[in-house]
Amino acid sequence: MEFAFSEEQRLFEGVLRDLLVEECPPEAVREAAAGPGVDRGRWNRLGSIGLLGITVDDRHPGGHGGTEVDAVLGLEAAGYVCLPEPVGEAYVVAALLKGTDLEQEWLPKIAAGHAVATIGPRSAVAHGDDAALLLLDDGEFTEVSTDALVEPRAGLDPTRGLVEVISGRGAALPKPWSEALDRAAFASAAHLIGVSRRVIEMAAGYSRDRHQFGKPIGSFQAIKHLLADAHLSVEFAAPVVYRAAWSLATDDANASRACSMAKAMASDAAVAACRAALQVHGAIGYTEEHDLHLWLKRGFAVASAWGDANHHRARIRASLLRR
Amino acid sequence: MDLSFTPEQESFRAEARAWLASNVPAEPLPSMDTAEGFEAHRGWERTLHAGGWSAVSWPAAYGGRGAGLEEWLIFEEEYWASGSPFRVNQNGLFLFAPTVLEHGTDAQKRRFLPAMAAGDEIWCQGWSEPDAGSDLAGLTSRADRVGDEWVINGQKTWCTRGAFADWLFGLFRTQPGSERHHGLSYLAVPLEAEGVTRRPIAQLNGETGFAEVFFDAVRVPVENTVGAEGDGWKIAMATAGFERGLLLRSPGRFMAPAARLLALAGERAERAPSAAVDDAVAAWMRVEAYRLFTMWTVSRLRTGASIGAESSLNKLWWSEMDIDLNRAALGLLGDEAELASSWTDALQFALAGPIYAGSNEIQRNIVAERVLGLPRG
Repeated sequence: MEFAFSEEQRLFEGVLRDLLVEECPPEAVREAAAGPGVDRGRWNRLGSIGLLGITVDDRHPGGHGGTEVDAVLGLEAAGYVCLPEPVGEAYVVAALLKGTDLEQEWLPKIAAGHAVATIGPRSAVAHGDDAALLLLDDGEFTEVSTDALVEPRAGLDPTRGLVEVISGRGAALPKPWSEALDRAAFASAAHLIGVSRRVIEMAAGYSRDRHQFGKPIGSFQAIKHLLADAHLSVEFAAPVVYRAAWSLATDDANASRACSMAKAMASDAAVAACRAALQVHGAIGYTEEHDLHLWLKRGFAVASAWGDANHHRARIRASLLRR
Repeated sequence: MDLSFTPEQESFRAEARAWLASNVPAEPLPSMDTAEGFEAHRGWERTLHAGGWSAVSWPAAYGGRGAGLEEWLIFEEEYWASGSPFRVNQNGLFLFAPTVLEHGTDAQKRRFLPAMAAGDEIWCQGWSEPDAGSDLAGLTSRADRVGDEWVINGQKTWCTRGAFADWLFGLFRTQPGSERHHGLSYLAVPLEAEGVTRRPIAQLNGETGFAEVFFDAVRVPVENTVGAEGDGWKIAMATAGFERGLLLRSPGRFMAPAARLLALAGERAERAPSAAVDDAVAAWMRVEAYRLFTMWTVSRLRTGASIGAESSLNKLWWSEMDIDLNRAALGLLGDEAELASSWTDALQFALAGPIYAGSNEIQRNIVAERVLGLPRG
């Protein structure tokens, strides 16, 4: 039993994280909020550093031949920097296209960051306007569309570039939509861990700097306990997310439940972390000028996407009790 | 990353399961917080010891079987699933023994560990005093050096099973005039020594598992000092790390009631409110998260990392989780919920969890200050 990342996985994470921090400072997130869209240059560069091809088979150019265990820390790092681009969606699409007629054509393009692919419910697909390939729910299976007619929809998090799909049906993939749900739940959970860790870090830093009543506000127990509880939720959610990565990677019989547990716990943790961080920042955290709102909106939006905590607990209940 | 166990570990599990199935008492023992029950549980410790199961992770020389931390986790899962009695010597086995193994002399290891593993000497912890609970550094019980002995005067309180235990490990002020966490030493004290008086304290669950222990010129040899004189605080904090961390509350201890809770939820789902079933599922999830967090911590320990202040996270999680588990069970029982049952017993005990082993308020302060880097008050 070794529930840990390898040194190689940690090294790769370090490289990715440094690059993401450089590629995506808060200003970049702010720009994406003002004019939603994928930054093509950045998407390309994320492709060349290998972030998008981790789980793509290595017989495809740009494919790293890795598993979800290799990918999860990169997905988390994307959340840490509040990356607007659909890295999680790219992972889900690549996994669903594997073994289908579309694999050969699309996986190299996705891995290289030359094409944007996305997936979502018809009513709210992230980055649907920028995507060359959309995977949608056709009721049971997964539907593929390359020429979807979409209409932008305002979202809680403007950086997600949500659209509603207006056009008719595309071709069906022989992949059940439930597989998309599991993988997207897992990918969003990883993203949320990153978002959560970042906002707690921001709040801890603020609590050291901000002085009131003659001392840093972090010296007050109320502030300490708020952040300690948020940190507790996140630190117990993280191994659950990593276990989901392992379950998917090993095709474990309980992978679906593992993904739901990851999403449920990460969603709750993200909401707790975002609320605690905002409360610690006080009014300044509520301004548009301060960066915190960018992460808050991402946290709340993704906590709701792909099934919120209640949705996934209901799934887990059904799995555990068959009712 | 590999979350599976080896074939050797699986056969260790099978061996533990088989032995427990053949040896677990047919009827539950009386509570170990009563005189009769205490001795019955000592008898069980002897049975465990005879099978080589009382301290699986210790070196064989001291009465263990040299099992690793993972094997210990496996053993704990099997132990609690088998319906085995509580471990009356848990304070010794899981708090004092790791301290002795890390900070004690070889002579102390030989003197204390085998007798502990055999159930011959049962231990209680002497930390708190009437004026020193959360603020343990305010303790005033002292031990004055006279020749090659300590002469102890003072009082400890909230000693779990202090009324019946054979030995006490505790913190005493050995440097005259010292204050706070300076000048304290970690001593082992035989409770049959002259000058020791014990008074049971009735707990809200009706048991007299607690005691006040009074020391009136109690003499113990200087050899009973664990670690260097004056280093007591540092060594005690190491104990606190274990206590809050893995050893006192293994995942297995909660996986067994979580499985029973799910079974209860299945039985009661038609009659109980849907929210009650949801609460049971949520409690089960918390236990599963605890199992995974523990595995994650064990893997980190194996790379040489130490648990440190993060053990406070462990304690915060299991103590609240234990209450959730038992409340969820009551939520499924409808009109029968308030009738005395193993669930109401466990709930009453669980209510103490956020208080002992360092109150959860202190734990949150530790997390904030030492893990998140917030300034002290």
